[in-house]
Amino acid sequence: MILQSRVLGEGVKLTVLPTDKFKSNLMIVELRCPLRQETATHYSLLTNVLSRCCREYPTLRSFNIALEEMYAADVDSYVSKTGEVQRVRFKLSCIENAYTYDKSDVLAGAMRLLGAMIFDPLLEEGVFPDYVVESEKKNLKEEIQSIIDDKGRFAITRCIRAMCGDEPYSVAVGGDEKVLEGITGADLKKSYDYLLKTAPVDIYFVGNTSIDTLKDYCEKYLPFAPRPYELYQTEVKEGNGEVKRVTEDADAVQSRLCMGYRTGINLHSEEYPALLLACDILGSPSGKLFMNVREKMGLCYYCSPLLDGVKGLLIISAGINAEDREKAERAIEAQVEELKKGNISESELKAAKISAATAYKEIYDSSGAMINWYATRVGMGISITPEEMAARIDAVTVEDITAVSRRLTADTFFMLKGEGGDEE
Amino acid sequence: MIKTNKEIGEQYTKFNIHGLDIYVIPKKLSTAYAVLGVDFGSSDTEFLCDGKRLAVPAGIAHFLEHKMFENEDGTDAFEQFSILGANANAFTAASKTCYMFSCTENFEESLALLLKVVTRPHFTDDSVEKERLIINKEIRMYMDDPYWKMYFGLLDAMYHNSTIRTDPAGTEESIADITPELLYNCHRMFYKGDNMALCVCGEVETETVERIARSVLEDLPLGVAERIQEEEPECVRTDRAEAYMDIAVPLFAVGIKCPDIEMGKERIIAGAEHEIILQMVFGKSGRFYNDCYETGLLGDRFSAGFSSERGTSFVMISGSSPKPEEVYRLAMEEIELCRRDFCSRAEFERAKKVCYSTALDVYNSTEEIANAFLGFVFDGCDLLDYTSMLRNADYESVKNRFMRDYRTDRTAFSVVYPKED
Repeated sequence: MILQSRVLGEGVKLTVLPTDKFKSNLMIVELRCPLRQETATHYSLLTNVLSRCCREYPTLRSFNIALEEMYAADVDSYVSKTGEVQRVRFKLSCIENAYTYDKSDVLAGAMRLLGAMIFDPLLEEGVFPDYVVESEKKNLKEEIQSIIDDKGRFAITRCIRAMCGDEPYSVAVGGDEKVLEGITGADLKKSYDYLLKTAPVDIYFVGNTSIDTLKDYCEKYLPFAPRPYELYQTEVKEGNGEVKRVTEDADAVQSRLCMGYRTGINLHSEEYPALLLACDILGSPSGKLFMNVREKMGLCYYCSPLLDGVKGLLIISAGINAEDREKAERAIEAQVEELKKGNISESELKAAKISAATAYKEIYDSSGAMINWYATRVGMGISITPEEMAARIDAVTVEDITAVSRRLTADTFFMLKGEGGDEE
Repeated sequence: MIKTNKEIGEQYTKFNIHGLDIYVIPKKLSTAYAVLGVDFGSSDTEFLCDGKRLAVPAGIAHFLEHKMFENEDGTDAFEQFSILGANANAFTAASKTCYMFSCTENFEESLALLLKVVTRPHFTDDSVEKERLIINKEIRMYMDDPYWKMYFGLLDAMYHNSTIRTDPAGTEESIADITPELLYNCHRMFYKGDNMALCVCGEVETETVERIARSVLEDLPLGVAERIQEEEPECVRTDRAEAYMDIAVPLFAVGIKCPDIEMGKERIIAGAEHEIILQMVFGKSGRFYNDCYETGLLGDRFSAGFSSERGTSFVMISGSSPKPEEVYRLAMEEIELCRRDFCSRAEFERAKKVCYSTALDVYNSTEEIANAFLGFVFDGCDLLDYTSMLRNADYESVKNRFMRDYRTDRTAFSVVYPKED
């Protein structure tokens, strides 16, 4: 696949991944800003307000009807984070024109609506209308609070809070209830103006439309003014060797253990490919954690590592019985210790390498995955293709993995404590 | 047999080996995906075994699924899949158990392994005991899932006798009674050539699949075991289910119990028509959702779908709301309103576009294609007909189905409320 790109103006770039493999098109317009407690909630609320309606379609219903007429084109907005960067995303997904049964130009129509969502919002006296803002505040508040509905995810969030409480990384990308309370339509308009004027913009497209046509659409519907192209980096900290143990009680049957490690390594590092393999050797479906902590010891149903390659954190989480905490911690640490000792078999190395190689090939089977691959790296100022990464992975040795594993420092062992175990 | 749908540019080849139907769907993507489905699921808890009635513990199909990955020499098949670079997995639903893998290389070896895994059971007292520990943890994990509680609460309210109410994993009590002998019996009665289907999707030659299947499957037993199902009344058992959990906002599900639908063409038409109805009446551009959204009764977490399995058919409308009872009342009102004055033809045409686009989206992934294909095979239908069915759906027929199936006296309501501190 040949990646094509055009600079549309200073700080505004269009990147096209041309392919005829899919029956739909995907465009992501991404604006980046530093993840900060003071602004994260504003931008999160902004995406909810913008994706609800626009000047031309001033109600959710009229906006949805317009989209559904275009074969349910999905024009939406949301925030996500990579490391300590907040991404404000505007998304367009629609079926390829060739598959419409009334010969519509769905892409052109959906591009126009994408532009309307970003550049022509519904305003009253120059600010976002109160009733829209208040209603979306209520929805966002529900969204923020509902994180407790999923205990596994909630535990990971709390572990990160305990681990990185004084780093921007722990700021909730979806927003904070207290900050949310005070936001007005006028505040939101200021955030909107600032974001649209200053944030670096990357526009990604996957589909079967030429870059020239797309450039025309962008110039017509997405008239971003020039702005400085900045890269926002994420601080990668080394661990200090002290393990913090934190416990929070939960009204749940199962307890969730999250063991947070600092790796000191991220996508910028030469050692990253080795770290990736170390994680796979621990966490694959036949990995050390599965085989020992689950299969041999029966301590859990799931036990899996989550690697944040931007922040350089590794969090191993497991659903356990409360009274098994010590046993589970020791069992998981023992597996990490095995890596540090270099106890890695030929077949483990082979399986991890082939699994990584497969993951890189699979990126090309999903338009979302392709965009995410480049978006993450472009945002950090890294230029590498999945193939190049696969080649680096292939060159990793057991010694490299051992060396990188020795840099894993246990930082915070968190448990969301549910009720007792099997004996009741 | 080769079948083509020119409108969407898709095709498949079907053949049969030792009673096993095999479908190969070519797709030019890097990932090849294969799924083998067994027509045996968590709702199959009583059947004839060697002429005698056998009632098995709830959760046995799922337990069996876990144990099939154990090899005769005690090793784990997941390890072999990993070395081949294949991601293997499995799941158990109400009416089927599925085993699958995806890979970008070593497809032949991985397919051979999948077929071996499913056809060569090996259980010991020890390994069954060990698995029980792990599955108990899985059961406890689901006990903390409010959506799970909401869903099974709804099924339990709607159904008097149907075993579709059974939690696929069973309970800690029910799985305590599972023995190797029971597992062998279930395997022997249901893992038969004509009670399974294999779907493969990717850049794979039909001849390759055929050669592998022939070499691994020397012979397969045939003859589908007779399931014993109790008669299910048309009315709901009770119209309410309630639970309290540590969540932020109440979660609700409204169920409408529909008459059972025959396998085959009727099933695919019914599925298409229900999806169109739900899009018209409860879709994101409909009156109901938008009125509720404007008044703060509903937010983004809202959806509606139709499901049909093992003699049960129902519609589920679910989401989160600060006032779920009010949403339920308005949903019933909306149905009554539509009965008096059904949606317009313009709304019908728009709903068709939405459903068509959703159906078309499946064709972007080998995994989604093969899984959807298998689901249709088990319903006696053909995925390749579905987009055309949606396009050609008939307004009057859709309206008639609505009038017949959307009855406010056949509904149940399940809510999970936040616990008070």
